Amino acid sequence: MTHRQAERDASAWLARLDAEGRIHADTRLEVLVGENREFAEWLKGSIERRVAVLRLLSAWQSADRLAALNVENPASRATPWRQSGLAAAAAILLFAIVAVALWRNVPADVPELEVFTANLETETGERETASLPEGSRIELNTASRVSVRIDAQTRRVELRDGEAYFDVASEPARAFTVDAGLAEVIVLGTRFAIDRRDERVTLTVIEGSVRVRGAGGSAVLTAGRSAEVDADGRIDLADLSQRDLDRATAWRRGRIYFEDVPLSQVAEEFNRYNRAKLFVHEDVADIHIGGNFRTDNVEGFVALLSDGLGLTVERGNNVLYVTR
Amino acid sequence: MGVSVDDWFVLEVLPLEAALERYLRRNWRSVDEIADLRQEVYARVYRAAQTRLPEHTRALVFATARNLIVDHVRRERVVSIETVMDIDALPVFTEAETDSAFTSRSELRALQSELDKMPARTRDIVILRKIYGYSQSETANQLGVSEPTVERHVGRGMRQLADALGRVLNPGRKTTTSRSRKEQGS
Repeated sequence: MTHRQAERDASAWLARLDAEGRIHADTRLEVLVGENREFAEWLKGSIERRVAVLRLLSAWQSADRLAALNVENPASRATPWRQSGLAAAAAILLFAIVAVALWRNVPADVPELEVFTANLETETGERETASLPEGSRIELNTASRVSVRIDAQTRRVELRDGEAYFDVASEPARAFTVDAGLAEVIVLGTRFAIDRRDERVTLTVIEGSVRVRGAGGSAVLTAGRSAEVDADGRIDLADLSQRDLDRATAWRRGRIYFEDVPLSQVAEEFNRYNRAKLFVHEDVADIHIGGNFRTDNVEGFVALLSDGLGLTVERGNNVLYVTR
Repeated sequence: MGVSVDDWFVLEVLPLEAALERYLRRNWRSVDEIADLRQEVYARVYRAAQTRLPEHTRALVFATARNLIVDHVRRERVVSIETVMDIDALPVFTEAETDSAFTSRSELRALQSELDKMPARTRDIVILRKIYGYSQSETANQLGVSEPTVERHVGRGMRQLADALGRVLNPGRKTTTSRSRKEQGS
C-alpha cells in the first residue's frame, strides 16, 4: 500500500511550498500547480497524490484558525537548548576570554561566567542527539528526559527519566557528573550509557572509566564493564563481551536484542518505544524469546508470536493482547 | 474542471472523514490499514466525480467504502474469515452526526489538543509559523535550527493536524451538495 508514502511526499511538497510563502488561507491547489512546474509534474496523473495533497492542504489552511489561541511564543521561553548553536558560540567565546584573562594574570574582575542550562526530552519512539557547548554529546533514547547545567567548575546532567548515551569531552579540570537518582556517575572524559528505571539504574561503559556512586558505596568502572545499582544503592558489577556492549547500546541504531528473555519483559521493552502497547496474559508471560527487532516493529514481533508460536493476538485501540 | 472537483472534494468529502473512519474501523479488522483504505476511498470517489459530480456525496462515499471492503475480502481470501463478519450485512449509511453549530469550535479544540500532543520541536515550529506568522527563515532563526529542519517539522505537523481534523465529527452536509452542484454549472 502506498498511502503513507503518498502522504509523506505530499507533506514534503506542501512544506516546501509553504516555506516559499505560497500557501495562504484561500490558496487553491490549481494556483500552486500553476506556480511550480516540478510540483505539477509530480502531481500529474496521480489521483492518489492529488487527494493526499488536498487533504493536507485543507488541514494546514484550517490550522490558521490556531491564531485565535493565546499561545506563548516558544522562542521567548528561557530554554537555551533551543539556541544551542548560539549558546555554544557564546560559551566558547566566554571561555576564550577567561582563558586569555588567566593566562595574562589579569586580576579576576572578569564578570561571572554565564551558566549554560538546558532541558531535552524525547517522546515515545523518538531518539535525539544534542551537543553541549563544551563538546560533549548526549543521545537520548525513547521517552527520556535530561536537564543539563554547565558552569565554570562543573558539568552536571540529571537523567530524570529513561536512557541516554554520553560521549563526554575530556576535561580533567571539570568533572562531568550524571545524576540518575539511585546512582551518580562521575567522569572525566569517556563514553557510556545509563538506563534509569524505577527500581534500578544500569550503567554501561564503552570507553574510558567512570566512578559510580550509590547509597551503598561507590566503584570505579572501566571500559567493557557494567554496573547495576538497585533500590538499596547496592552496586552489582559485571564484565561484558563486545557483543553484550553492542547489544546494550543497540537502541542507538534503533534495535533491541533479546536472548532467552521472558515474554513479559520483552513486552515491557517494546512498550517503551511504541504507542501501541502489548499486554501479555500471565499464561504466556514466561515463554522465553530470543531475537533481534526494530524498536518500532511491534507488528512484526506480534506476527511472529501468532504465526511462529501460535499465540493469539487480539487488537484493541492501541492495545495488543497476547494470550494462548 | 480539475478545480471544481477539488472544491467538491474539500468541501463535501473531507468533512466526512471522521464518519468514514469510524465506518472503516467498525468493518475492518486491522487498524493499521484504515488510513490506506481511507485513501483508496478518496481516490475512487475523486475519480468517479471527474466524470460527473455526484448528487449525494455521503451516499457515494459510504457505498464506495463498502464496495472497497467487499473487494478486499474477495481478493484476499486469507483475511476473509475474520476481517468482515458478514459482508452482506455491511450498512451503506452511517447515522447522521452531531450538531453543526459546534463544528468549527470543535475543530479548533481538536487542533489545539493535537498541538499539545506534538513533540516539542514540531509544536514550537507550528506555533511560530501558524500563530505568530513567522516565515520559515525567521522561525529557523528564532529557534536556532536549520531551515530544512523547520520544513521537515512543518510537514510532520501538517500530517498530524490533518489526522486530528479527520477525527472531528461533522454534520451531514446534504444541503451543500446541491449548492456546489449549481456552482459547477454543467
